[in-house]
Amino acid sequence: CSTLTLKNTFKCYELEKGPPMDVELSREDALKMYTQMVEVRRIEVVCNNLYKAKHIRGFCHLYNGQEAVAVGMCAVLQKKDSVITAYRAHAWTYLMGVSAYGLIAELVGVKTGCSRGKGGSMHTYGDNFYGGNGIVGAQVPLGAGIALAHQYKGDGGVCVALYGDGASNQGQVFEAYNMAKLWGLPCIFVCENNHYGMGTSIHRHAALTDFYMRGQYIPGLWVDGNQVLAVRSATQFAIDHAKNCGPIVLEMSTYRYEGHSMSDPGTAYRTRDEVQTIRTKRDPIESFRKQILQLCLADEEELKKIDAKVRKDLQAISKKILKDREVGLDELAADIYSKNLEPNIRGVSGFNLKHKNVADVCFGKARRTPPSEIKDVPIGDAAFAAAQKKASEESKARKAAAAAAKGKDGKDGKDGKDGKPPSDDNDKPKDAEPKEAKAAEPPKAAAPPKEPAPPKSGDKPKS
Amino acid sequence: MNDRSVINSAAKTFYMSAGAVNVPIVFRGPNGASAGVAAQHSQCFAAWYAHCPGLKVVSPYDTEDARGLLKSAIRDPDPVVVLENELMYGVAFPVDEKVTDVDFLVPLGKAKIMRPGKDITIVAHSKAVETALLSAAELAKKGIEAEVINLRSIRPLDMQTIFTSVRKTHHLITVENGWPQHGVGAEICARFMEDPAFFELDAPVWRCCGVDVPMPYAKTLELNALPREPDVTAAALKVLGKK
Repeated sequence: CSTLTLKNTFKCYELEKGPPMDVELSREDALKMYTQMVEVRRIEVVCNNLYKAKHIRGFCHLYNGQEAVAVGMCAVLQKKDSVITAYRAHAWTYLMGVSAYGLIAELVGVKTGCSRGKGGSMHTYGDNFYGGNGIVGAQVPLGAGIALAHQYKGDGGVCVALYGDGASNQGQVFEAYNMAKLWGLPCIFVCENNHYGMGTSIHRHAALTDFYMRGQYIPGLWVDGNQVLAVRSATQFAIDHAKNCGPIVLEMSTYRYEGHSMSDPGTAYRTRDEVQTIRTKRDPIESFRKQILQLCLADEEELKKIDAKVRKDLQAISKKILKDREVGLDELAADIYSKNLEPNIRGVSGFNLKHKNVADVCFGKARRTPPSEIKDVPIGDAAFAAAQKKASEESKARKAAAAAAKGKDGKDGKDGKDGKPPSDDNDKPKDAEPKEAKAAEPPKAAAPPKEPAPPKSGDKPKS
Repeated sequence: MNDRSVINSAAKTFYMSAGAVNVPIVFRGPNGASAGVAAQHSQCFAAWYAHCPGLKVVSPYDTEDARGLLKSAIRDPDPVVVLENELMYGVAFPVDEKVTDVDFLVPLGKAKIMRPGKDITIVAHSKAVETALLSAAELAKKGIEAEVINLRSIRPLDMQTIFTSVRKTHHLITVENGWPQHGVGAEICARFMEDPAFFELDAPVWRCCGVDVPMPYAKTLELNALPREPDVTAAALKVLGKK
């Protein structure tokens, strides 16, 4: 393990103290993060080639140049934490556990894709990874909602909600800030500032380009997003902050080498020199490679071997994917609803398609939450009935205790029976499991929230 | 700009102010399915906006429509939504000299007969007009003369042109790339139920619409999610009782 002092990597807003400047780096972590960054960049190279060969269609937003952000953040996120991002989603998808094969296959639109080829580049999902989202800024309020779920369930997780510098001007971002602060949600808002929103530099689209200050009443941290160790350190700091003090805004200052998407050559609004300068002076992979070598955590030869292996593996994958097929036409009307209520779906000319659920077999494992695992949270009338029942039980217990103390019988309050919600047995399929029937009853008082695990308490970091 | 502004601010203000404040604004932009961009970027908003009283909604098909309708929309004192088809942006149409005139306008709320015929009426808007025309050409090979109507305006809906056509052809199908439920075709069907023109129909009206699913990314699924010429031709033959 070596210790390293970071320089010029953080700026604080409304924070008493920033992350520690001295960071430790073990050989194992160094090699893992290095490999991941190389993988992520290589995946984008493969995607770029497949796009140019017309195997990938439509939208395709590459992550080249921003690798340190996703890799550094995922290095400290734990299994219980969630991530939601925008359409520049390939790296995040991969780091959150979808295989490179599943990811690239999705872009090619074949059956082996992580969304069976039905979603494409911007719509990829994994465990605790709530997607690529195609609507600018829409994922930010969703992220606040996921953070609310973490808080509500008391599972000790945080949600990382990512958006670009362009999306940071969306009204819904500020709405999400407001609710997150008001409710103290464990949400880390991350602005991946690559300095250009779809052909527009930050100085032309944002009235305040200090994106880490834009939470106003939410503390913020500017981070050199091209230094993976700075990102990692800032993320650990943000996780601790989010758990103890509520939301925080991180601005990851980074740069994208490619255009906004494949239809943008990325040269009309910036000079080639600018791109070249960043590539030579601030490349996240190159600078991390130098750090590793300086600290003698690995030698040149070893790193070259990693590069070669990643290149070879991904080449093999991309070749293999091209032999895969698209899903059959029967899946055109598949998975529109998790629980479909009308078996016939209207085709182009009449109700001639059948709805089908294939979600069960996606990724070769069960995708839908089995009914037994769904925590039935009562809402509406059921919530009212459950609250009534709970109150009546409590008052009954109190009265019984009082009666016992006085040595004579007190009159019981209403029993819980009228607090039951109307039975919905008729709606249930005949083969419903007994567990499901049980779940329909108003649940007992919510289980006490689990003790939130302190960070780095032996939980294994993600992937 | 979001739907809240379009509907709650633009569409309702004139009514709420009892005619004191009119909203002469035009909302224009790409609409409908593009290619390979999956569910969040492929859908038709014609029926969504046309649902709202206070809005006028137009959906141009060709160059003449695009120019004439947009100019009319700008000159109109009410909010107008101009739904341009993304895939048609790059398509050039030959135009008449008069279309280039500074005062060339296409009236809002008037449909255009793209191809006259006497056997069946095919009503469409936007890119679906192309599908309808292709189908009419195919039907012509079988000796069937289809009349193709380009709606141009979704609201107001020019039912008179459709009724007049059906009095002649006695058969009707609608073609649209939007979803079927509560769609443009559904509205046309309902208008027939409420009008004496209903008795002119020799067969039920039939709709050809986008398949009732979010737009998939995979190419073959995407191709099959929208009505194509053979679908429309088959529907026409079915309505006419021919094979």
